[in-house]
Amino acid sequence: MLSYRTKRRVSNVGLYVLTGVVLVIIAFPLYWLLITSVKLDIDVAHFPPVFFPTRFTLDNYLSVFETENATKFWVNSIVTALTTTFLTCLLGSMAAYALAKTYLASAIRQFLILWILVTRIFPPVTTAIPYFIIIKNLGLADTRFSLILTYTSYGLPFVIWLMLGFFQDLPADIEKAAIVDGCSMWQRFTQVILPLTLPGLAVTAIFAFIAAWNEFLFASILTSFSAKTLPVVISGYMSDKYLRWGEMSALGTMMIVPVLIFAAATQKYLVRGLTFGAVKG
Amino acid sequence: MAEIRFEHMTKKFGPVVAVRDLNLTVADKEFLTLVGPSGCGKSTTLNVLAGLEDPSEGLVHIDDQIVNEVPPGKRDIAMVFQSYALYPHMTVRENIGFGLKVRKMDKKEINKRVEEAAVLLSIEPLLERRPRELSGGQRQRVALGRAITREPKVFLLDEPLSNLDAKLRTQMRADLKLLFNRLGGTVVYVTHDQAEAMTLSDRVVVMRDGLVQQAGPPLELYDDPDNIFVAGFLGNPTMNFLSCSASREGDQLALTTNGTRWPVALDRADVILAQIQGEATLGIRPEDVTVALPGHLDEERSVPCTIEVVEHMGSLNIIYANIDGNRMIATMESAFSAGSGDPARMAFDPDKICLFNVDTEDRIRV
Repeated sequence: MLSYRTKRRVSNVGLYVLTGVVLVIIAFPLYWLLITSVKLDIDVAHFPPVFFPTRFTLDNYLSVFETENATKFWVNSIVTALTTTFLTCLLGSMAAYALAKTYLASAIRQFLILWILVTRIFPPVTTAIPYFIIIKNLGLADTRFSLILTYTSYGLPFVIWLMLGFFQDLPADIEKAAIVDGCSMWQRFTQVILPLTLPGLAVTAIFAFIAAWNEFLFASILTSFSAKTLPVVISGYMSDKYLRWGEMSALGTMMIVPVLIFAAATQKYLVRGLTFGAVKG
Repeated sequence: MAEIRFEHMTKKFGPVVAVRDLNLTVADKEFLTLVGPSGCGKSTTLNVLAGLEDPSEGLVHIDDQIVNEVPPGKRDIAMVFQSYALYPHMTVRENIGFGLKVRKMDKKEINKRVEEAAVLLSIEPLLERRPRELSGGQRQRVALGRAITREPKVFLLDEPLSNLDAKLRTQMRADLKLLFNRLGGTVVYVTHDQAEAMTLSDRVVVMRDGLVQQAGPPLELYDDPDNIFVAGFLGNPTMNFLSCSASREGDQLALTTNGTRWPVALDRADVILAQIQGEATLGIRPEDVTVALPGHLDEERSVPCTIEVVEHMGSLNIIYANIDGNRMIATMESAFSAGSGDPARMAFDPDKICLFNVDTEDRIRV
């Protein structure tokens, strides 16, 4: 018969092993991306695969910048993702605030809240062709603006739904106090409500940023050269003639960096945001 | 000067009528308390006065102005909430000064007023802290500070002490009374706690199901209630109620329950009997009931009872006694000791008896 302490120790070891396995499953693709970006071409193509390379090179990184003018696409990606994040968060939180309050009749509110989801219920690819034609006719093809417009409209439902939850969680008395204190609706929103939902907004912003940063479908349809973003450039390393794993991995690795920086900058709020509403505080 | 007047004010939420045809005037500098159980319409009335809810019908006046269409921020009112409703992301100083900042008051003046309020409420050391670092009592003081810096015409307080523990509540009750005596504004206070209503107010309004049951000075309501609800709501322990048959005995009225003849004889039997159908509810406050061991009370003017429990509260004894299945509560200051099941005798102060109509629950007045 095992003692309680031994049982607890065994179960702890079991938990660590399980955590380790999950960690390996999650981290392996990242590790593979990173080492492929610094492997020699000969090691990349080697079979069986080289899991622990002994020879390293930075040629893939240099090649990405020298031959592909990656800086320009980097700027495209950054500008598109940041502007989209800003717009979706600003417009989305204002819409969510209006929907969280009772200015509209309940039935209308419910209808609007569901209607907003409509754009999320079909796969984006179904609208790709009409979208392409509309954007082309508007003379916006191959512009960052076309991408920002598209990402903002697709990102808004997500932001509205997330922020709606955060606004509805706020105690009603705080807003009543602000009303009695003489705040206009805009003052209430900017000085009282928004600062209180900042953790939620940070989480929402990270998701919105990642969605825009990684978006591939519309970027590949709506851009050809000037407004191309990084995911499209990466896919360009795959053709019927060649498959340039090294450059693909180098650019892929560099693509992760801004997301990490963005997440680190908002991490202070992120932890609180993910548990927001779990406990009243 | 700030007189408040509700004129035929009704507030409905869909099919539910929260407040029905309220006609009430709050005099300038009066401390008026709206009291009643949950859902009686007291908070709704306060919200309508604050402008947080629009009345469905009727008018609300502050001074001579009809304020139905005036937004809350322009009514010159300040409100304290049960949940304190402090802004968590602001310091105490910012919380107290926020209403003034919104009104674009000069920074120096804001600081001056915030500090004056802090001195008045003894919260000067807390000014740079955030609400989450404060105890319940301190938060309540900050909420009061936020109200008083505005120097409004009317203070609205919505169950401000309900979230505090019993001891702190009693202490804050006294502090509130002192504070508003000093400030001298018109105060409308909402509570479900009859002790707060009794101790703080110049006038109490008892509400039930959206209707005013009775309004008047606290002691008047306590001594002379208009119906069973008011009589039962005010006072702790609550008033004793006995269902009894009323009959004439000579010129006097005799009251009996299951053969027990209550030790009271009321004059003007005709007048009383004309208002009831032979049945009445007798009400008597615990402090007007005397319980004594056999031999200590006049047998003619008392009835036998059995002691259930005696609670010694220090300066006060609460005695639960049973008479033929009816539980009666008596409070007595004098020392009394008896065990559970001991026989005793009980007498009522006949001048303090209230009779109520069984059907309407209204007071039978002679």
